[in-house]
Amino acid sequence: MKEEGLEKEKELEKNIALLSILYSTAVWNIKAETEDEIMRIGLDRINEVLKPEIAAILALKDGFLRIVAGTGIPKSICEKTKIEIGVGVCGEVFLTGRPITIPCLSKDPSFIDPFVKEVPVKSVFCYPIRIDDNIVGVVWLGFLSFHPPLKEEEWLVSLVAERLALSLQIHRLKNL
Amino acid sequence: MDFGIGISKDRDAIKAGKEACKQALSSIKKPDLIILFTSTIFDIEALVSSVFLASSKAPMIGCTTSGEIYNDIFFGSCLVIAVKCSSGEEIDVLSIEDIYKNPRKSGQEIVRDEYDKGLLLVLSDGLFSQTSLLVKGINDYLSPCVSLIGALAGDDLKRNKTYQFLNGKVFTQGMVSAFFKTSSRIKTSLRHGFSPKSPPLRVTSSKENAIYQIDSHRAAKVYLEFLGLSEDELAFGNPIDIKEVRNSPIGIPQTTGDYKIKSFLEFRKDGSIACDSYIPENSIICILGQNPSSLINAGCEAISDAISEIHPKIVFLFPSSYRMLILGEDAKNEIDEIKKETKDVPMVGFYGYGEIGPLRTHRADFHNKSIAVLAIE
Repeated sequence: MKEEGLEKEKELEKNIALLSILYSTAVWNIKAETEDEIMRIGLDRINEVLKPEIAAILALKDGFLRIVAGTGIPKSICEKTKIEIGVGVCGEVFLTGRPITIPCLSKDPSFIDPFVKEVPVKSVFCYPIRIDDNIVGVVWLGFLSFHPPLKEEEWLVSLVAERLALSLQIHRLKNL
Repeated sequence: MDFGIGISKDRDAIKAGKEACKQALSSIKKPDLIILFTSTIFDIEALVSSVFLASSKAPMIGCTTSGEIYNDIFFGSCLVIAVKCSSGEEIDVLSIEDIYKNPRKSGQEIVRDEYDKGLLLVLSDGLFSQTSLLVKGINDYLSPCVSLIGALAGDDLKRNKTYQFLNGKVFTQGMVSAFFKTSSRIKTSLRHGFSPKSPPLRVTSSKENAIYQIDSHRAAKVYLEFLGLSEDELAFGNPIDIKEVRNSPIGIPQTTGDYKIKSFLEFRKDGSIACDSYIPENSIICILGQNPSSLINAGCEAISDAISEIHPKIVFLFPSSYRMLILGEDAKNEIDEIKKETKDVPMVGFYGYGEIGPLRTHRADFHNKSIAVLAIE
């Protein structure tokens, strides 16, 4: 009986924690000087709330998707990565504007993005960053273990992507 | 990988360095790395030179502490750990002499592209208020196949100046690291044992690492009143040294169900509270509490997690010096309880001013008031 009560208490605490994280993300206001800084702060936020093992934000630069903020990706790979639109998970999400989640990557190796060829990534989430009808970048998260996305994780990534897009829009309007 | 350990309490820095080194090298010939954890009681320059020369200038990292651990707690001693690589293993040491200029970049610079699998041990200045940025910088480029663990140097609780060492050189505002390229199994863990005592509170105004308002009232007022104290405490100096404040940090809820502890640096006259890392506006926080058994259980949980699935040859412990202050006499019980779990495995480490490790996640982060554990098979 006591154990059941403790379990319920833990469950309640976890729900309060989740609600807190969702709330603070939903009203999150990014203050930054440059677009790259906005992306960097955005990725830090994703790392804080979702704890992926490896993550990146890619944006369109010179016709290719390039890593503008990364976690767990060696510097040389960040610098040389350029992905064609429509290629790999990132390219596909950028092209279609639709998120992709792959709980078990080994079943679909054609979706391995070039910047994680050396890392045994098992699960991938990728969400578009959308300003009005335009996709300006993607948020990519990788996990080394089998990690089917929970509903709340999907909400959180899409929330961060929305807040990022809003911050980028405000930044661009300010710099017109 | 093999290890040799030596400790000395000789008051003469040169003799202490030689003695600890001699013990550590009794079972290890030509070490690939020397790790030195020492009290600030010694002439640091003389001690570091002594250890460097006594080990025939083997690659070396280390730092000062607020208490050394070698199967028990020691004060005023110097502890030397000699590491010998097996075939195919390598150790690379690096330093950043000044982490204050650009902490994020400093963190990025300690990671080399070739660090693809193994362990990165980091020791940095314990008085730096932006270590969370430093760790973010490390994580920017560090492969998830490399385990990250570390601690912030201490200075016997004086909070005046900490020291870091690399290959016989001594820094005061730096960071040193050792990357272990190894196929040995490695496990890292971290726990704190604090849990929420207040209802969720909203940070309604903050800037960088300072909280100005909680639930639309002055931050210091809300916090101190919850603890049964008054803002008048501010007139008598900085309340961070009051026992109730030291024992009750704030925490931000995590999706793992844990709370990320934010330690206080300063209560300001304007009623704001400066914390050890960035607090976004609209964050939900809780005031945390603990008791001796919750802290000791957390230490045991950390070690159980670290030694599960592997048979370690050595265990490194990096507990926060705050735990020693909070636990008082019970600090020894925490180490004794952990020792019961590790049995005959040698246990080394030190009490420092902050910890770097994974709190129920894969990736390590900067933490406070916790205990970080590294087990190497």
